[in-house]
Amino acid sequence: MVNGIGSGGGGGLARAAIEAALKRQSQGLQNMQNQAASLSGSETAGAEGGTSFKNLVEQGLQNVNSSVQDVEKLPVEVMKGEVDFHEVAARLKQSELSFNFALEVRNKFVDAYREIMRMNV
Amino acid sequence: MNNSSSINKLFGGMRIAATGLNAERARIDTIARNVANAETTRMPGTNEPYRRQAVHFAPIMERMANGQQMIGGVEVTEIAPDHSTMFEEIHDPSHPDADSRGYVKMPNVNTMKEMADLITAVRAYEANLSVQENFVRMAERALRLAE
Repeated sequence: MVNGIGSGGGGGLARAAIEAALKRQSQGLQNMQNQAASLSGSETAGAEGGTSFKNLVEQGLQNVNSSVQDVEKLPVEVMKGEVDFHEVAARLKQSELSFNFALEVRNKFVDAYREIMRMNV
Repeated sequence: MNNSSSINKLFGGMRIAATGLNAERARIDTIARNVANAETTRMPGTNEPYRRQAVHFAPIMERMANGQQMIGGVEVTEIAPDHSTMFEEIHDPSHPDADSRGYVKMPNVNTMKEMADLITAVRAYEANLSVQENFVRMAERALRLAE
């Protein structure tokens, strides 16, 4: 169905670009997870409830992570002809958007943390 | 791509438009098949010429959290042969598929109609793409609010 993709230099370039973008995204996500883990590790007071802030953040990150990992399988699926052009574009954009939203949440999170640390007691 | 994670729920409009893109893609593929076989006078295993194919769509029903059914997108239910129009007979005794009277049955494909269908299919594809584009634009605008 998508025999044209991957044949010739253009396909290889596109593939390299997709892979580079994915690598960047998953690295960023890894950093975020590490930071969230270190931040939530020091946070113990609010953890007795069923849905603590820590749980919410972890759950959200896992959702974004699965979305990004879904896209990591994309190059292989494209080569196998399992997904269509528009599906590739939609999934890339979807993972990019959800990642950017998670990044924005993380930025606010870190900002708040820094603000509190800067407070004079 | 049917994992019902909350991310996919968040991108509901995007997913629905993607099913529309898939459906229109199937329609364009079928039109291509019809146009390519507009002169095929004998199908393998039969005495008949190629019969025009038509795509049939149906909504995808999704179960909501409260148990109710909701229309979620579109899918191709079948690609069925078109029996509504007759094969046209032309007189051409030199044709290998001509009968004893010298007549050849031609497929019931009207290339003009297929071309008109192609235009509507491409426009519908573009419309679904436009939905996706605007969905992304909305999300990006909303994100800018937080920056």
